[in-house]
Amino acid sequence: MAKKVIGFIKLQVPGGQANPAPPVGPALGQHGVNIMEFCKQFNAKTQNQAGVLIPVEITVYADRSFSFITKTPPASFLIKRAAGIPKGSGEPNREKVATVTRSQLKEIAELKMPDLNTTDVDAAIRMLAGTCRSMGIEVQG
Amino acid sequence: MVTVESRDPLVRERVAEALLELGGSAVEERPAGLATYLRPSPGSADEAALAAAVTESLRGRVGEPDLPVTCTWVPHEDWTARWKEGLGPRRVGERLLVTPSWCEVTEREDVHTVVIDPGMAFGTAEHGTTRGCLRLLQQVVEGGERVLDAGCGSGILGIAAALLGAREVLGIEADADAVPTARENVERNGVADRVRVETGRLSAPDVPPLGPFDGVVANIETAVLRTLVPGFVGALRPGGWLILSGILREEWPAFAHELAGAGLVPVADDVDGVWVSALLRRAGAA
Repeated sequence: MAKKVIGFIKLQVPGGQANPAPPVGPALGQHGVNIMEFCKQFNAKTQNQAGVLIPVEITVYADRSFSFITKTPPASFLIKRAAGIPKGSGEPNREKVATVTRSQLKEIAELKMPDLNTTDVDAAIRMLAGTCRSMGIEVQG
Repeated sequence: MVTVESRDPLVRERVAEALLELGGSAVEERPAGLATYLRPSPGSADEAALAAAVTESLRGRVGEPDLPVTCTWVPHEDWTARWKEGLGPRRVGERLLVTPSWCEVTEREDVHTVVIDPGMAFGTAEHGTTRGCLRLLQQVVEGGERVLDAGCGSGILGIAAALLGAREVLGIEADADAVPTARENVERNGVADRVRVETGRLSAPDVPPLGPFDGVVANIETAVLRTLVPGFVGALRPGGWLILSGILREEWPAFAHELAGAGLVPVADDVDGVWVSALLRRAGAA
């Protein structure tokens, strides 16, 4: 294949806020990727998700052109949004800050399935419930 | 640079958020863990002390047993300049010079300059297939042709064809992300009156209705070219030229044989590293 891949980079960048500072600059620069062009394209593509941490995978080709795909936002972000809270509990074992329903977790699990290490929705829900516990969020139902 | 080891995808998500809260601007995912960069602050000079402080703040935010944390100071480098290393003006054949936009170039009058920065579209002079096509274009474009650039990527080949004298170039590209880059390149090189770029995934039957063409250039890969060749032949005027690239040297003998059976006459081939670019003509009088 003419478009031979010479590099693969995985980053998590807040939507609309990519800039050439580390770690974006060195991660891309080491592969000879046009850093400003990546930032411009990423920010344009994620402007509707400003500030949401977006996982992005960048493929670098032999002629130093590149492409990238963005993935689903982190589970913790989706859980906080479902629970309607800005951040998790500082002391998750003692202080519960919110609740989410099992059906909300199922929705998140289905959205996140492509990016999780499982193909079983129930297993994904259990993983998400663990995340909820560590954030001081109770799961009902 | 701060690295935190963890292979659990959900733990990594919480670590990533925590590292941003600590002041990182983004997080790099590595196989064994996550990395970010924090700016030095008063009292943070000691790497071990900083690692301990990061460990402490992760404890509250991540809710996991302590994860291994390493901190090392990395000197500042200007990566917006460093990524450009190794890129510069490249003469390709006698009449073309390909250069990134930030280089000043002066060339003989008969040398055409194509300005291309590497970006979200394949096709810079850094690749043997692109260089091969550029050299072959110089052999065949005489002026006044109507040309198809199939799978045009950055638009470099169509732009070069226009600069060499083609009257009208149609670029077709399947990757929707590459098309805006190609259009920018067309504008930047001053050939927007002659080169048009459209989004589309071509299959053989789509090509003849776009014709007739005096020339077709397609830098893709052998398996895709094989399916498209009947369409190219159908879209070419008799005697029209076809440049194919993205062919590995070991694929070429068998593919050349197939092309001869498809009504194409081999004219020249260009070898650059592991790649072959081929120039053929459709049988029949021009």
